[in-house]
Amino acid sequence: MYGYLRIHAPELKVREQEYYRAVYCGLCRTMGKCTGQCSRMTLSYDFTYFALVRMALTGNHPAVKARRCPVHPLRKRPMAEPTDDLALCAYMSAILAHHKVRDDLRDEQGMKRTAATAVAPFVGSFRRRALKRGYREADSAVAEAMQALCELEAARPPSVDEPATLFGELMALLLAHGLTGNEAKLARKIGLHVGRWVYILDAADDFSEDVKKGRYNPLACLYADPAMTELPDRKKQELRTALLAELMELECAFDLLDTSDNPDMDGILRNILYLGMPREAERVLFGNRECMNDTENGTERHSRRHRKGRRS
Amino acid sequence: MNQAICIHGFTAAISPQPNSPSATHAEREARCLLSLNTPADTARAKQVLRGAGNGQMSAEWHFLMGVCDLRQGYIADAQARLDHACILCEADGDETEREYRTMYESVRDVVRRKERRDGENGKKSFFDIGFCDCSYCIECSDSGCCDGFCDGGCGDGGGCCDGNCCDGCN
Repeated sequence: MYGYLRIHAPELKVREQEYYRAVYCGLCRTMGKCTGQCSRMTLSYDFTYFALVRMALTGNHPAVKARRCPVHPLRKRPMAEPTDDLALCAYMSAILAHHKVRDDLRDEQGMKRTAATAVAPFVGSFRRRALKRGYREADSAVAEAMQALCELEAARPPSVDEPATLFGELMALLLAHGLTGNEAKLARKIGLHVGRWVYILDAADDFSEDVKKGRYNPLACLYADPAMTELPDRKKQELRTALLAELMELECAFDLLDTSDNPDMDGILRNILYLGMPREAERVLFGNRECMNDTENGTERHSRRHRKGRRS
Repeated sequence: MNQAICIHGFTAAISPQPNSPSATHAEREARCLLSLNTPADTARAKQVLRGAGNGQMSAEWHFLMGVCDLRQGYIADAQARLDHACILCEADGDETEREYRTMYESVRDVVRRKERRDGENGKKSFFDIGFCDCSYCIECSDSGCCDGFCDGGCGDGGGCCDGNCCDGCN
């Protein structure tokens, strides 16, 4: 995955940060147990986010215990105990990694292809464990969705939203696996908009490099301007609006999530939605992380807004 | 493929009559369909436009395609097409540009309005730290902008009338 779904740590409460770390480490440990120790290398912030959303949807919050791990052998760290949701994320991560590598083997050249060839047997074994655990149906659905995305990208349509929607539907499928009723609807909506947001942002992130190397980039196809080697400010503003529209939809979905039984979870999810994701978009589009890091500045502006509200 | 993402607020209503006398039959038909403003008619209009979209497309074609995208929640595509329609019109000195420009601007306005509403209600907002505060600049357009409350959005003290985000202040 891409690693865009991050927290904004300076604005998290200490206990929320501990909880986030516990889920991150818990997912890593669960991956080791479910899909093999090597699969821990594929751990990402994105699947930690998905794990948190799944927990919020199902209401199954894991117990947290202090444990040691191979990466941090000296000091015990808070770690979420394996749950069904964490296991599902571990299996889904393995399935997605396998199909991503297969996709790279088919499309990429040079170093990327060599890397894909090297890791293919490993991710193949992660996936086999998932299949043994009854994720055959999910695997077929992911393969189908990846194939559809691949075919659409090969046709190079003048659109970023069409492939983004396919990717969003793939994320929706992963997140809603095994859920029914309103939870499934919410999971699909969250998955769709998170997937679309990630895809559009990734296209913007890779724009210059893709154009330089003559690779497929949906934004290059959309703007169809051979002279455009970097995104101009006007286009960046447009993308920012599009990304914000996705966040607005995500906000609607999160407002329907009942996280009253776990305020830490709510705090983390809102932190990612309101601060982490916009900040990441800002960094990719405008590259000004410093501005974002200045939390004091942000807080001051927020209070200024309230002053202004009172004044009018 | 999902045809109804449905992003709230982007209604994009248009008149059934084209402003441009040179509109093709397909463009007229698509405009009629779009004026009905239902998801099915929007999908049909897109089909009609795609069927006619061979070779050099006109500004009207890009505009209508942008409206279809907007209604289907394809905001990035919509903005690119509406912008392209404006550029083509500007090049021709066409008067229909105003309709196209208004539609293009309205896309950003939906986000701005929402942010302003959230700000007034004290609700958490994506602009709190992350984005340059466009809505704030619009608010201060009445009271003589750059009055100390508005500092260029990013908090860089650069003043709010310095470029991309703050047309409302002029």
